[in-house]
Amino acid sequence: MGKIKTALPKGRMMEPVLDILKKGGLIEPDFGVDVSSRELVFEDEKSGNTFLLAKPKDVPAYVEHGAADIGITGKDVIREHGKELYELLDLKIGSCRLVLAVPESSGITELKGIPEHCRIATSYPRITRQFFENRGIQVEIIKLYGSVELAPLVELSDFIVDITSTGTTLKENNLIPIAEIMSSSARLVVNSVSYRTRYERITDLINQIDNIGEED
Amino acid sequence: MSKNILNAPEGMKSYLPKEALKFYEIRDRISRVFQNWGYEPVITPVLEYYESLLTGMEQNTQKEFYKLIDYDGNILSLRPEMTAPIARTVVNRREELSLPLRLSYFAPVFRYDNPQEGKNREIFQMGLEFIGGNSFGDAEAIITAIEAIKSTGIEKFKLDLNHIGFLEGIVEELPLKGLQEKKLKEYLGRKDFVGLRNYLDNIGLKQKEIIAQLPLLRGGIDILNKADDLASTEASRKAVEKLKDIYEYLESYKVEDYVNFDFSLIRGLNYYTGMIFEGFTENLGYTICGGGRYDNLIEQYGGQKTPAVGFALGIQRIALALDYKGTSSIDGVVLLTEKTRSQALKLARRLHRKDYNIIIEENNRSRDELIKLAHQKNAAKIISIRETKSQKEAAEIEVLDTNSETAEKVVLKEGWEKKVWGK
Repeated sequence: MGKIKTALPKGRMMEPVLDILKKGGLIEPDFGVDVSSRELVFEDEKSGNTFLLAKPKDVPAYVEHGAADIGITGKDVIREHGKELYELLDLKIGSCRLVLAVPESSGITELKGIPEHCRIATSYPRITRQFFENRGIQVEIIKLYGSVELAPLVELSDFIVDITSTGTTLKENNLIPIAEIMSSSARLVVNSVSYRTRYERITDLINQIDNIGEED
Repeated sequence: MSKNILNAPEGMKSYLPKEALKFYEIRDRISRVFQNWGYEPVITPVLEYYESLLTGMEQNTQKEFYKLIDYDGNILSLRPEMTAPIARTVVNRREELSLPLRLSYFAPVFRYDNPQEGKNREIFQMGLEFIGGNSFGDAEAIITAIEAIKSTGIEKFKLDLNHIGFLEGIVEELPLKGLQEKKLKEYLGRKDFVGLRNYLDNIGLKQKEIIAQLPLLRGGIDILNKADDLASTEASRKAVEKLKDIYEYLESYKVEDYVNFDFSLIRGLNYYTGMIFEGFTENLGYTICGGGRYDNLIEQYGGQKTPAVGFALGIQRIALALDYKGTSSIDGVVLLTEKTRSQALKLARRLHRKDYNIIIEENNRSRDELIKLAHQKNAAKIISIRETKSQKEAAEIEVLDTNSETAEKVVLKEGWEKKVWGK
């Protein structure tokens, strides 16, 4: 049976993802990934499967080009990447929402209050552009790589589009979410050719992972 | 200097001999297969009227068109694929043509897609169109595609087959409104099974099980029986029947091992009316070929309803999947000096006439440099002519073997070339 190359998302999603893959039989139960190590490629000797540790935002690129057969990353990231990936399973972990948030002081409480040509900081320019284009609102998008909530504080932007799970960070920075753009959770994505050449192995994995949810 | 002076437009590139030779090699191999099957080449313009290219095409592919406006205000477009231009040509020139037509092409097509590895904006396609064919046409297209891929040297590859009538048949029974059918197909086509499940839940479709089953309908010939059990309409049953029929032909030609069936396969272009297929090879994350039946397209161009089937292969992608390198096939270098140029050219002429590949160089390099140059071109021999007073044809030459680096004198009598090159 073909060996599988998996792109794993480094960071907070890593541990729960490993748990799921162990239950799905892709990783041996005693296999540990030393997250703190500098190694970026691991091989599970028993199964021969390999694992790449990638930034969540890079996972779609690895899978799209076939450098990894499958990958796990957030729906938000997949949508922002916007490319051909087969999205086979919702792992139902790492849930969060992508929201439009405004400073409390702006007094705006709904989408209708957003003025034309305002500036919006985000690390999701593609989704943000689509969202506003679909509503016919012209906005200026400023792409940032992180700490987006800082932008309105220093008047780099009027509003932000960012992910939030508990809402704490937004609140700490006096930002109020006024519209949900999308909700997201971790997805299992598959390269379009691997889906065919390793079809049996991959559907097995999916069925096993899918069953975990139902047993719980 | 502006970067636009030096660089090729995004997604396009110049191919140096090493790559270009590889493409030519692949082209020649595939051409032989197409010829074996009786396909004849056709050449159509790189530019077409935009309106013409849109015939039979879906709205959302429009942004992939390169568009230009000519001085009369017409919108022109670089062709994004070859089936539409060929269908147009066949209708336009029908008086000069008679059916059935077996046409093949090797042509660049252009798509304003986001460029990535393996995804160029200028795509070299080879393909064929079988227009006005018979019931064997589907199998003929699939078999020639398999034979063409095999001829390039790719061994591990598969084609996924489907018949769009199967899904049409299922959808026709469902109480879908407006855009729902299109949405469903979009999710299936992208194999976004999470999105598909959520969408089915959202629209509260009771018969969602049958759609949710589709992604699992994938595999060898056994899957056709499963599909038959699921088929609840005449259209779906007919589709399965047709695929079985095709499979029997493939068995007879002994190529059945190269195909799988995938009932959630959907192709981007919406002019397809029946069997569709896509090909892919291990270790390359992109499809290498695709095609299918398009029985309505000729009619959409104003012709009579004519059955047709075809496919295209992506030459750059096939090249990516192959290890072999393009090699030069220069047989030798003939050196000339001021005094021997007339004799050197006469000698070169004689060799060219005998179909040897000979390059002519001035003798102004050191021996080592000459050998290096010859090696780059895979030239086995370097030939120099002894200077004599006579301007007549040379009687004796010196042949330097570029591998052993030894030189020998050769008298130019009948059959000397065979002795030198062993061919």
